[in-house]
Amino acid sequence: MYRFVLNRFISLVPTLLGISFLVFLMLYLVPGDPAQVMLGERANAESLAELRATMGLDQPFHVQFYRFFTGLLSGDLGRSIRTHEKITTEILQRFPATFELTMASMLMAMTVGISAGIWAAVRRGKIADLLSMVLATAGISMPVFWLALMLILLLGVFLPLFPVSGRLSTHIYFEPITYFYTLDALLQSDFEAFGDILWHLFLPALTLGTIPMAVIARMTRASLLEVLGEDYIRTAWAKGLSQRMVVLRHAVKNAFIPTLTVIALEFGYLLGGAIITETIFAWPGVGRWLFLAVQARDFRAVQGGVLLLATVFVLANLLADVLYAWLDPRIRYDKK
Amino acid sequence: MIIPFLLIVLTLAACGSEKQQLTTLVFGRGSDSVGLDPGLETDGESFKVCDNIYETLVAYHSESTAILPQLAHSWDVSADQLTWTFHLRRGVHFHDGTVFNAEAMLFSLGRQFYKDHPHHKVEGGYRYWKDMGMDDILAELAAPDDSTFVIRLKKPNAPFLSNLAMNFCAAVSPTAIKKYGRDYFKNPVGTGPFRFIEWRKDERIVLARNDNYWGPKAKLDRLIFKPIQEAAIRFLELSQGTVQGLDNLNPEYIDEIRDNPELQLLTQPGMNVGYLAMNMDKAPFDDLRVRRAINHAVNKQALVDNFYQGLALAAKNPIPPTLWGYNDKITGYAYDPNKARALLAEAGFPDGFETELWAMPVPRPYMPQPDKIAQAVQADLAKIGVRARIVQWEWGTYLDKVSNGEHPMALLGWTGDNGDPDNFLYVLLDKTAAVKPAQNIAFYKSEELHKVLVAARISADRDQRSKLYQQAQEIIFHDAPWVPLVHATQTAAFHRGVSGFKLHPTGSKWFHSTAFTP
Repeated sequence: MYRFVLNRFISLVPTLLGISFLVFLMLYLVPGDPAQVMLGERANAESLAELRATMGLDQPFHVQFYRFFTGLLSGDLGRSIRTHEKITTEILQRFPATFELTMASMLMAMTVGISAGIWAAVRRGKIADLLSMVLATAGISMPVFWLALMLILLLGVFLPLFPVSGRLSTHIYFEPITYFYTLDALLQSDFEAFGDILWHLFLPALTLGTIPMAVIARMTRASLLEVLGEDYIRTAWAKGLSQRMVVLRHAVKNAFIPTLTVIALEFGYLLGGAIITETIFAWPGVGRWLFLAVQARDFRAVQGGVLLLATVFVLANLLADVLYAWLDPRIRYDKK
Repeated sequence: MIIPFLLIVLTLAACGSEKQQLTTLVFGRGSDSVGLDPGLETDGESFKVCDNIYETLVAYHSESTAILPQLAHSWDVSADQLTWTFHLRRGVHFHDGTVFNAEAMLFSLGRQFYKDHPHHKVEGGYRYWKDMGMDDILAELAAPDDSTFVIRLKKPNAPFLSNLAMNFCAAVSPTAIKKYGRDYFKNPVGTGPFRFIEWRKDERIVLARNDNYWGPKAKLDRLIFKPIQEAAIRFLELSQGTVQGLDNLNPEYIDEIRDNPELQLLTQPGMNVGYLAMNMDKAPFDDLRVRRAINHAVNKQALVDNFYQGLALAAKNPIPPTLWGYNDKITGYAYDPNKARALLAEAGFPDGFETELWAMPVPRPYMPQPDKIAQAVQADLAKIGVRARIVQWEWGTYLDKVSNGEHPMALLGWTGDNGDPDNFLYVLLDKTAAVKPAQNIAFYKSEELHKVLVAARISADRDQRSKLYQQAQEIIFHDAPWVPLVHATQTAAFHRGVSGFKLHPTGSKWFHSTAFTP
């Protein structure tokens, strides 16, 4: 088991190296001079040359890549061209916002999705099954921006229960330490702030969680149905076990493996793909920041951001692999 | 799962809402500031905040671009117009408690001017300082005593005083810059009516009233700038009262704001121009009759009505009417396709010709929908037989190519900086700006105009300058290097209870007189 995990960790290194090279190459090849984009209508020969020189854009490819790569190895991603800020600081301040949102939405998605999936599988063919699967199909097919606007309209305007933008009310002040606001508020025992943070978290988390919720529900139902048809389940029934024991003890654990893959993948997607939700709810996360960086041709920020998201995605997959191995001993490849 | 969560959240949220609140104004906007070092920034969202933290030697009048004293209570100009002596206000302190004096002013401008200044080297450079040509204007800065600051010029330059009122010439605390170094942009310290409290990126910037301010103190306890990218959500927050002010409103919300008794709408013609430049280095645009024909062919009022929902003014001059020196006697080229066709025939194109119309790929403040404007202009030109193919490039490439004159016709625009007509006419239409990479993308090279613009630049007499600029507009009207299209209107909306806020032609947002009235 440990060797398996270690091997998977070592295989991360070439993956991430490859990603960093590809990211650098793509940004180098993309048309549009960052200096020209930054200066806009005001660009003139002198200001362009000076800006290119200070950004190192006048250097040949291999020099630029060498600088980027040595910086990367020493953990220094440089400063953003657009915001003068250190890329690492930008990421450390924004990633927690994205992570908190992802956790909240995955929590909702998993709780509701898994319960609904089990419920539907057990009541296969009945109204409950049909209803939950219709809802799940609707959930998958809904475009995120539309869902966000509908939820805002419903729970922010007609029934004004929740705030429609931001992480915090404007009258709330507390010192951010980790930038995980829920954690920061609890560390400082500021329960007013904690409540306010959860209150702001609700709508964006529900928006972001709906699609994974639906995917998880369908996956759980399908794989549980498959497992419920297997011989050992028939044996369990034959032993006279209660439905509860059969489903929860014997079937769910085995049915959970494919669901876990889906959860890990969705988790990875959400951490990087929350741009629309973050934009609509003015959520100061990493997706929106990266989007603005791409627009401004802020190549250093894009390199850092993409590298971060790729790492997170790869790690989420690694975690899923490790969990498989734990759930299903047959997957421990090193014993083959 | 969701319902218990909902209950907990609502209960917790309800606990805090009865607290005593400070008088706080939350101002919503489309995006966050880039930084708060006035010397480094170039974008409006940064200056909007800097406007309230910093002050300059001289300032604009609250409703025009006339120049008034601020940190300098008066100034003298030597007879040769080369030495400007500013007498500084005493008893002014930075927000960090240090004293504002001539040394501090020398530091604030000197870091941008002197190449050997310890704080001169910054990534990207002090861009506004360079863009406004300060290196070519100034010869020397001096602080002979605590309350006297002297600027010596290389040659007489009248627009220079307006430059001093701009954000990049603001007084910054030397102590703070030495302390924070490259991180000063997020720890700004000025002398203005509000001081900086906190900045959570993409979330909010909080300012508090400066209780030690030398002038009349601000009426708000707190001023918060909150970025909300989605226009619909921004407007929703304004209607719900969680945000009390907004700017750059989408035209679609204007009627709703007018109809809502709880809201008030402020509008003012903006200090900008959107134009269609014809490349005079290329045939057939080297022919005056062709350029005039194109001018007669474009229906500007239709552009204003269809793509700005009325929130713009059809342009006849390169400078907007909010600027002094605007020549209202010029009639402009009326929309007249028949006359346009006649002019084309006279120029030897009875059946029109084929050409390209270049359009920006991104919305700009002076032209929010450039692709649609391009299509409308294309249709107008088709009516007189000019078959224009629309060409678009990625934004950086576009600017690069038009500044090198690769286009026959191109859309572009300008937002004024310092409220001086020189900042439009000299920058965009003088022959010295037609050298590649050019800002004069019509490649219009008029010796006559150059003489007038240079004379206006060195004269210190405002009335005389005004006359010269009116003359310049006549020359430009006659030569028709552009089709001046529109001046986009700037807008803001506030809650009924908010008073004392005024829009300014430069787009500055000052909140020191803003208050809540019951």
